Order: sequence, then structure tokens, then C-alpha cells
Amino acid sequence: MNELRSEVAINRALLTNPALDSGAIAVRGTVFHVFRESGDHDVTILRDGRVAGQFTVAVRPEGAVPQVNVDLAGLAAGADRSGNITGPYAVREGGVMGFAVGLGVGRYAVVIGHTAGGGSRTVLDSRGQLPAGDLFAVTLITPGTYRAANLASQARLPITVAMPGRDEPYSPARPTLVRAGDHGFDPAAAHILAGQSIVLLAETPARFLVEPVPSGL
Amino acid sequence: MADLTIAVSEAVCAKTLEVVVANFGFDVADRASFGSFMAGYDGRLVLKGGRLELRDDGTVRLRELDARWDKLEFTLGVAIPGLSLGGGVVDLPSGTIHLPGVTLFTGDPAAVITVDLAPFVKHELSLVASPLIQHFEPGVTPIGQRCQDLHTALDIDDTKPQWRVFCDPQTIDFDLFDFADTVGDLFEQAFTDAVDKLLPHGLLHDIILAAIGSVADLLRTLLDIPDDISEWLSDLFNVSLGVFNLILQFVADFFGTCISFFQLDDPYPMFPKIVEKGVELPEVTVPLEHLTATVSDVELVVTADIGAVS
Repeated sequence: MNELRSEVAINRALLTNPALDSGAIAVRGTVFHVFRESGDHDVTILRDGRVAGQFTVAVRPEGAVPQVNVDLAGLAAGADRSGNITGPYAVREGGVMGFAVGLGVGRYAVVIGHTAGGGSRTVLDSRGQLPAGDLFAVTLITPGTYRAANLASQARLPITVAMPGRDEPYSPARPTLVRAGDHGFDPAAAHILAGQSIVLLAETPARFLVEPVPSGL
Repeated sequence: MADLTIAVSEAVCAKTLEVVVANFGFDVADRASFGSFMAGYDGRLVLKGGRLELRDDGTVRLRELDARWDKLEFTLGVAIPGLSLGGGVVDLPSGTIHLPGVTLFTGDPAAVITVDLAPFVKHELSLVASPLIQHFEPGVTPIGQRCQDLHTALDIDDTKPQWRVFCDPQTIDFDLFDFADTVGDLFEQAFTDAVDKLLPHGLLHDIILAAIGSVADLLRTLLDIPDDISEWLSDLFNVSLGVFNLILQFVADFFGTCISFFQLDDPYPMFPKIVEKGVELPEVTVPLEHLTATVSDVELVVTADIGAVS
């Protein structure tokens, strides 16, 4: 580290506060898919509706890691002309792959097909509903009131985001888990500090949308 | 009994010291990586004042030489770690989910500052030396590059064989780097400001500060600074960067092998070439052998034999 650069660019996506949709993954939103069956899974990344990359995930009964997180923007940028992304990726059966977006303004979707018996079956199309067991995590930065909705059930969850107090212990890496089932969200309301994450667990198929509530409403 | 005896008084030796000291200049620069940070310096050390004392134990004592830095530019660079928001882990019955954090920066952010510490550093140099005799043979006797540069700057003629008498330091007393608390405070403030400027302003700035405590806390963590930043700075120069040892080595070389206090050409010119009544009388030189130098409390005495007397 004998040479240091002082140039630095702020992740500009953090300066805006748009709605976060599990069907259109953007910076501050992450979809986690649980691979329940072993075998090869074909993953297609879509950016703004267009195929931006493809790769295969080998799901193994054992001998693989339990979780892999990927940056969709980075993967799409690294895809070759045919859209292929260099792997290999492997997770353990029952393991998780997290699909996040590190930078930029792009909105992404993920389609996963399980290849078995000569055919392929779609196990996730994030543009629609997340299957039960999958998760959607959002990091909320601007203090205020938000509303999380499960568009599949029309259930709603009020979220309050507060600034950390001057003298209170604070860590951004302290997420809050909320379950989304047949009877709505559990707990029925969430309170976090700015910069922390809410993790929505789909106990039934769900499509999540988290958006700020304009003040005065 | 020696054929040649030259006595040099303490006053003359003191004058010689003045000339030597006036030409003392140590240009030193280096930088090193210490994992999470880089530190470097670029300085020029000079000497002023001082007193010379001949002692009856056969040594020469140089006292109270003020060592000052014409410049001492200190550069410190710290790579800012990947600050992120969100992240963490969620425990589910099926296992633990690790959330990726949302990174704040793109690229490799780093804060670099350069401060001139020269006004804040003072040293005092004293040494006790013994006469060291060297027979200089051009092209044979090794001269280091730094010494060669000094000789060039001082117009020292390295083309003739000479007997040279050096003051070879036996002990060197040089003050360690010792930065005052106020310097540590100034330095910390300057660096904290530099890091702070890297952070985004507004809401994100407040959230980051809430996460890291303060920029000063982050800095102390990155640099592994204990409570006393001035002590950390002193240790960096004295030990980690090794500037203290470099200075000692330079002083030892400067006085002990580079700049002589006294020298005699060998062969020694007894009579110059002259032309008298149209007749040219060539220069008369005699070889010098068995040169010795002894110090008493009043003078430096140099003796030598003339001619190839065995």
C-alpha cells in the first residue's frame, strides 16, 4: 500500500429513496432464494426486462457452501457476448443464494429453472411472487415512515426508521426479521434505525414492495 | 623519533569543526507500508553550533551540536475500510442468512496528508571520537555514494593520495524523536479533517458517524494508535521508520570516514616547482609513512616519517 488514491465516489444510489420491489431488485434490496432440490439450476439475470446474463448453480446434497451472495450489476457487467457468466457456482441443498445490486440505477430480476429429467422447471421468477421460504431484505436509510406490502395478500406492515441517538449503541448490521404469512406480517409493525435492514420472510408466496410514506399521510 | 611533527591547536580544530558542521547536511526520504496505512518522510537535517573539546584521554569531544530539520515532511496515508450500511445476519430454523451490506464508496478510498513537522522537532548531538588515520588511495579506497556527493559539493580532491585524519565517533549521543502532545493533537486534527472530507455529507455522514463512533475513533483503529498519539508519532520515526538509526549511521560515517579533520598529501610537497635564472627546478616531494595522530587536552599532534624508512 505504498501508493494511495484519494479519489472516492459515493454510491449515488444511496442518496435517493425510491420504492424497493422484490420484483425489480435494485441497490438496497436483496432477494434470497432457497435451493430446496439438488441438481443444476439455470439462473437468468434480467436487467430492465432484458437478459443480462446467465449462469448455472450446482446444488449438492453436501460438500458445498450454505450461502452465496452475488452482485447482479457486477455479474451482468462481466458477462461475455453470449451473456454467459463464468462460474461455477455451487451451494448446498437447502442453501441460499442472495441476489443483490451493488451499484447503479438498474433494476434486475432473476429467473431460476431447475434442470431435471431432461426438462426445466421454474422455481423462481422474481418478477412474480417469491416462493415460500425465500426472503427479501431492504436497507432503509432515510428516517421516516415506510410501508411494506405483500402484493400477493395485500397485507401491510408499517415501518418506522429513526436516526440513531447520539449516545445509544448503534450498528447498521443488525437486521430485523419480519414473517409474512397467511395472516399478514408478524410482527405487525417494525422499528429500525437508519441504515439497518428489514428482512421479509415469505412464509407463503409473496411479492414485496417497500416504499416511503409521504409525510402527512 | 618522527621526521615530521605537526601540532594543531584546539582553536584550529574548533575552526575545522565549524567548517565541517557547516557542510553537514543529511537528505533522507523513505516510505513504508504498515498494513492498513502507509507512512513516509522527506527531510533534510543540518547541524549548527557546537563546541569542540580535546581531552587528555586521547579523544575529541563534540558537544551541544544543534540538529535541526530544514524540512521534515511527513506523509501518512490510510485506506478507508469498506464502510457499508445494512448487512448482518438473520437466524432462521433452516440456518443463518448473511445479508450483504450496501457499500458507501466505489473505488479504493484513501486519505493522504502531508505535514511539515520540522518546526516541532529539535535534537542535540554530542559525540566522543578518537583520531582515525586513513591512507587514501584514489580509485582504491572505497567512498560511498553519499560521501562522494559531499566531497563533490565541498570540492574535496579525491585524485591525490593523502593521509587523512578522521574523528571516528566512539559514542554518539543523539536525542530521540520526541513530539510534544500539541503536535500529536495538531496532527490528529489535520488527519481527522482529511478523512472527514472523504465521507458523504448530510444524512449519510451522520449515520456513518453513528456507526463508527467518530472519525477520530476510526483513525485510531486504523492506525492502531494508543491513547497518546504524539508517542505513536515518535515511535514511528524512532523505531518503525528507522530514521533514528539512519541518522546515527550517517553521523558515524560523516565524521568517521567521510569528512576528515586533517589531511596531508602523500607524497608531501616539500618544495614547489620554481624557475630561477632560466633554470627550472622541479617540485620536491617526499613520501610520508607511519603517520600517527594523538590528542592531548591542548592540541592534536600528527607525526610522520619521511622517506621510505622502514
